[in-house]
Amino acid sequence: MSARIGLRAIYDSGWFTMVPATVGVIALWYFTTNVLKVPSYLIPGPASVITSFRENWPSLAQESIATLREIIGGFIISVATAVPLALLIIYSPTFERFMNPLIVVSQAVPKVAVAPLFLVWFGFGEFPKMLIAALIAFFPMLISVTVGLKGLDPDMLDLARSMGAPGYRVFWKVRLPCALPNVFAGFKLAITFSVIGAVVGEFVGGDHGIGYLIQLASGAQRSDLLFAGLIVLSVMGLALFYLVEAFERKFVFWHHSQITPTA
Amino acid sequence: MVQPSERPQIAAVSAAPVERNSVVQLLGSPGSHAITVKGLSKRFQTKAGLVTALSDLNLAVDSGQFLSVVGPSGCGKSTLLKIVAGLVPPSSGTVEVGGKAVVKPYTDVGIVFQRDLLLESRTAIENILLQIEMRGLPVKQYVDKAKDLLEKVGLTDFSGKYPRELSGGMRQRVSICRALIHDPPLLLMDEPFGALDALTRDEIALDLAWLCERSRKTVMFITHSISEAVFLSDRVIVMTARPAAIVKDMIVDIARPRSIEQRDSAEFEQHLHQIRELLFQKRNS
Ligand SMILES: Nc1ncnc2c1ncn2[C@@H]1O[C@H](COP(=O)(O)OP(=O)(O)O)[C@@H](O)[C@H]1O
Ligand SMILES: [Mg+2]
Repeated sequence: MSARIGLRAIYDSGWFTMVPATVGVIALWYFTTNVLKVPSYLIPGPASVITSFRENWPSLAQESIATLREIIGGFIISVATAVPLALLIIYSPTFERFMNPLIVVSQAVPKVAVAPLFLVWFGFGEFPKMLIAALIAFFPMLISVTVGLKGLDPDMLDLARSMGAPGYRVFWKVRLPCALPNVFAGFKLAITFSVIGAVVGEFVGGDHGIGYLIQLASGAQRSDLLFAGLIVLSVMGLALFYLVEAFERKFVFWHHSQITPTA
Repeated sequence: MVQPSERPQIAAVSAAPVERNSVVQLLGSPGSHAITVKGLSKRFQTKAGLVTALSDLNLAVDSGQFLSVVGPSGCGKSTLLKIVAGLVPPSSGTVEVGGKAVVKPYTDVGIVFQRDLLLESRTAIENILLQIEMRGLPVKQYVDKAKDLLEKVGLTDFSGKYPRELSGGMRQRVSICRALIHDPPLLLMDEPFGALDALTRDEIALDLAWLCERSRKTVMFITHSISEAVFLSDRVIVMTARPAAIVKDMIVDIARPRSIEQRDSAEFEQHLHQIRELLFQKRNS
């Protein structure tokens, strides 16, 4: 009985599908490089990438920490700006009317192309990279949070009014809890986009970070190191995503999206 | 699932007066909460033009009366209820509740809508206590009362469950408890059973009858089930659309407490017949 529950738990957890998927990808990779003999400057074999990891791990570690700082900084800035703006939008129709066209226009501007401008304005440190990350993460975040907070059932609002609750109490006890699934959807988008933003920043004008390392490796035709950088970046992105998801599970456990079917 | 035996049966209740007294206590004392509606009109400005939801409606509901409002969809029932609750301003006319003019939302009322509007983030009992929290009242003092109400609707074992773990009928029962916990003298219900299947509807109507029996609350209950209206009410009004008007005002003088068997009685049938004939006539003319 307990053995079956154990198996069930393994099946229900992501590992059941993730492990074979990862093994499959590595096998395909091995097949491409070692059997199909695709030249190693195009796709380096798993062995050479592992060697690259072994030889370069101090700098890989150091650069990932710089990139991680930029990603988290960008994420925090985007949350700290998008959430108050979303509040202004839902509580002030005037502000919303003023913001709507701005949001549409700024959505149309390719934010990656704004990156060089930020470097001109803010120089070469980590701060402009955080800003680029924040800029790219900002809009999906703003839209998710706004949609969530706005989505409150009008009848619920009527009910709250007949309960005589002041506005702040309606917000904390009703509006925010109802919006949490959307807020976390926004957080997950924001963390993913922050990774992209930080790397874009490093590509455009970096002297630090995994993005910079990838560019160096590319210039030096060291595709093994380039792959190592890519892997580090993906793992970092995944880890951050799962971290946000863990918080989501803690705060939004009651939502239907969080239910794993159990027998 | 709720087992039928767990739920209070109306017959069992009438055989146990002591039990019923506790409900009377639970639901509080009578107050003067008559509703007076005079010359009420409501027009909505829409893109398609001016929509008249209500025009020159007059209605007086006695304190402690259970009034049902029956009528076709779109005839202005919800609008009437929201105006009575002070949630929507009338275009013209006046509404008085308990002798006071209604000009804005007020709090000595319990409201139940068709959708149960439970917060998914709260357990059943926490949802009931939301009413108390929102009013800034001491939650601890109401926990026992919330449990009591849950017991009355047969949900004792579900007090710690989240809405997604409850059936539609259970959810609506919780929402009724939420509307009753602060012991309002006035209960406004807008098609509260409209989203439920027929069997659940009958069950929950029994629960409501049981909760309201002798509680002396003034109740305005909107439904499109004629038999539900007759079963629950002291009085049924029938509204029609375009022109929005009360076409029938009927006192239901069937003795209380009413049992489910009475729904098959000749007396009951006769009341149903009167309303049905009228709605039917209207449709054909
Ligand atoms: N907020 C609103 N804006 C515009 N029209 C409305 C609004 N609320 C109700 N109406 C219109 O008023 C009429 C009566 O609506 P309602 O009171 O909801 O009817 P019922 O509850 O009897 O079905 C309908 O024609 C509806 O379209
Ligand atoms: Mg309605």
